[in-house]
Amino acid sequence: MQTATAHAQALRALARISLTFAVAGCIEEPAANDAPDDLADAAVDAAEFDALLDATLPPITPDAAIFVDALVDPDAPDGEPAEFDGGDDAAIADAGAPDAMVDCGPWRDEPEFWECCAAHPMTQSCNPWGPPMPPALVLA
Amino acid sequence: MTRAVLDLRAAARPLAPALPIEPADRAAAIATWRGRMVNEHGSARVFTALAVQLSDARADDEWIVAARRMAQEERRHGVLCGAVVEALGGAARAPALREEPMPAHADVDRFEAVTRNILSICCLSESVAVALIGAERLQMPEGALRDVLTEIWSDEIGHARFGWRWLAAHRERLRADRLGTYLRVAFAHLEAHELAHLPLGGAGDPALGVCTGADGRALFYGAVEQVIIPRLEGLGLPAADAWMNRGAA
Repeated sequence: MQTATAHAQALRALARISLTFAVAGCIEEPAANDAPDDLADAAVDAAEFDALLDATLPPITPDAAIFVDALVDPDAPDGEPAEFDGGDDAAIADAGAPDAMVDCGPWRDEPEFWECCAAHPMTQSCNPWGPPMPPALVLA
Repeated sequence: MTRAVLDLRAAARPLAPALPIEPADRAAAIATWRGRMVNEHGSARVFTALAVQLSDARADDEWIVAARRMAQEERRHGVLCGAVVEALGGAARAPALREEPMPAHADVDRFEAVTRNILSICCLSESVAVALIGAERLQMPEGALRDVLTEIWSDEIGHARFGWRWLAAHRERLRADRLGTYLRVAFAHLEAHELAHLPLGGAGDPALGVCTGADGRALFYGAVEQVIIPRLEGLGLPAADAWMNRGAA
């Protein structure tokens, strides 16, 4: 898929999932679309949402005609996390050394990673996922 | 200063997906997914802190439970991203994010304080993530790796919608002028974060979820200007002005 097409579909999907009936001037039923069912709900409501999208947003570039339904994916999981025992905070251990970012010893078998870590606080390669802590508001 | 280490190898290895192709640049692919592993797992703290703030603001239980669930989902995303690192031949182990406190916003009441944070986390950061991950998913061939991305994308949709539903549900309580002032800071923070994590250069490898920084930046600005701002404006918040004057509180 071409990048421009993927971008347009991704924006269309964002437009749909960010739409609340309050934006469109209606009253939204609360608790009808909790997170686990978001994808399914969004797909079910696609036609209704599409009509509201067109009424509440300017056209999304590059060309509305190329849009297909990015959210209707019957095979997609519903977002409910699977039974999950690993990866909790217990996985975070103290490195046991002052400023472990500089001490690359534990990762010596991966030199390419540490070359990067030596230069940067965290390897950055197209990975802006995961919201950071919000900023504080400091009035000038 | 002691730095924590995030070690997800044991949890990630059994989940390592089959890869659709051999990576053209294995080091870049490992670095990308390892960075995602760290960011995702670390953001569980954001939602854990948000749940506490929602409780302080006397939000209904459904919101608090949802925030806790989102924290669990972010931990699982960390493991899933670590599983891709392992599939690529790397180790799901890296320095953890530094601990940062959630802003308490002591200058305003608890409702407005948590609304500020929800704006930043869900309506900005997670909404951008929905666009970025959604585009990457569409450019990835069907298969186990795309399934990983689909699971993460599905959860991120829930995280973004949490924010939009919060604003809609409490629309009559929103102080547009004051939230507009906060949005200036939040937009600047968002832009700095996204650009820092979308460096220019590199060829990208869409089949493995490795985007190019230039494309990612274009989609980031599209998400903000074509969707997020109109949505916030639709809820009565002066987002266009805040974006234009971002950084100035």
